[in-house]
Amino acid sequence: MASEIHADLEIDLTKPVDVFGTIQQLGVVLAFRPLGRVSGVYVPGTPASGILLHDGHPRTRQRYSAGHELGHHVFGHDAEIDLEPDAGLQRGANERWPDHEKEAEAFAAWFLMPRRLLRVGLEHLGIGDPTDPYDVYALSLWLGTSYTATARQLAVTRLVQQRLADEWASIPPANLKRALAGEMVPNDLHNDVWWLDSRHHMQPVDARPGDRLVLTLPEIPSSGFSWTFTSVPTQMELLADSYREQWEPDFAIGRREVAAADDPERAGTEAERSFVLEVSPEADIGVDHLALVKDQTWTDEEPSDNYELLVSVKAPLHGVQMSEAELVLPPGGEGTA
Amino acid sequence: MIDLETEQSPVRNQGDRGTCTGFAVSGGHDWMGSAEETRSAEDVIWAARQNRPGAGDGVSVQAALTGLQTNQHASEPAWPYGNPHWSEGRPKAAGETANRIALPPWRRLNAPSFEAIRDELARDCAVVLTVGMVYDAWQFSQDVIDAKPGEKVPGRHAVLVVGASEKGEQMEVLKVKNSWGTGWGNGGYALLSRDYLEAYGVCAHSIEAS
Repeated sequence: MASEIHADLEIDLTKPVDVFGTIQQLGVVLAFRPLGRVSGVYVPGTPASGILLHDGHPRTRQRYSAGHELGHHVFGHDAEIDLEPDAGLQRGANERWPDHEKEAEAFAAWFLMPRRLLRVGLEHLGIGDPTDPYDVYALSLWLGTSYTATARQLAVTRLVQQRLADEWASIPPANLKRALAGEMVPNDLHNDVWWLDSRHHMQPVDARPGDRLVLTLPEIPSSGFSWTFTSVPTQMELLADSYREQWEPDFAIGRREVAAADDPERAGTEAERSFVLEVSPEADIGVDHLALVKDQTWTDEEPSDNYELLVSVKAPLHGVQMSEAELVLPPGGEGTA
Repeated sequence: MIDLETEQSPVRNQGDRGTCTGFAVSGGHDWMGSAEETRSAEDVIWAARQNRPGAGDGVSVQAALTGLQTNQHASEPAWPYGNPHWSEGRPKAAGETANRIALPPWRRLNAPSFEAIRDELARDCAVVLTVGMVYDAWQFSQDVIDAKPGEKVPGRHAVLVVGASEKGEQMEVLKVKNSWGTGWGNGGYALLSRDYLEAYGVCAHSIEAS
């Protein structure tokens, strides 16, 4: 069914699927508001059905919930109130789900993560075959899907072994965020930690206010060539530099210890340099340009390398996502099942 | 102050590579050796990698000197920097006897102490020093490379020591020759404090005159 929707609506599967746009394209009213422990609500109706999503959830989770509720709509299901969709993804848990929930869940996975799109994402990120949970996390951020669902779908589409996918899916995303950002993890773990490296040069990043960017770039301290920022958006703040502070991502510490064990007197080794930047919680919507060059600051020589990111700041979604003229809510208003 | 800068070969720039050991050892050999031509930094890394196989440009001074002792040291004209990269193997010209010279006697100092290094300079020896790099201390926003103990050390660096304060001088510093071009520091040289040496010194090797 998901592939039929892709085909019918001519959805471009070379980039992340715009699930919110699809919902609106199908004439379904889409709205966001606080929902407590509820992730999504589907309300069938005439002339328009409605989908309500929790406005406090991370965008990745909202998108997955949207895919799930869209599944209810596509399959012609009755009204549904859905709790914590990721909980259903724990192995075995969804075995006990009713059939219509399984259908909606499978639809969400295949609609947002068809095999072709997963491969495009892996190639785009320079990952190839995922080898660790950080690869899955990076892919999930690119796809705009939840980490756990992405790990599961990699196994369903036979891009990774089931055993590995189970192992990765069992890791709470908050643990990955802590490993990537260490003590620089966002205060609110609903925010994402974007792990960016050389592979993301010139790539767009869709961040939200409060998200943190962990930028890791290769540098050889003993060369005198160092990364310096030439353009930092006013609504982004540099929180830490691993060359200056004791802070370092957990994964980088592991790599450094392996290198040091080889010969503790080696001089001239490469040491990854990581920066943490925060998108201001009060950031305005827009696209910001982040740029660095690697050079010896005391010379006029051309930089040996450069790095650029386009950071697109998207505001949290609140309220109804259609114009007033298009609004036709069923009796009882939004939020009723 | 013992200052032997005028006896040194020109300051070079290693570029964006981790070849500091190659330049520090070559600088020491230029100084202590009898050849007119500068020694090859690329050959130093290659020789170190014969002794300790690996992939990167980063090598220890111990591995480099041990490798050169076995393979001798080619001249820069015979093996220009980066042409070819050491990982492609020693070029024919660098392997020719006429283009190689033996490394003078060298030894590892028991500890990279200020006194031990100064004593070696007083004996007319070159000292290749390996230190931990505190990033900001080497950005040369100050006159002397200095840092409090316990700072972050993202990597290690090798330099050639060409001078030292004499006994009784109030400011206790070493003078080091770097390989970051003449635009860095004072014409490519800088002073390094005794405190920095004691906090971040890793090892030191002495090369005698041939």
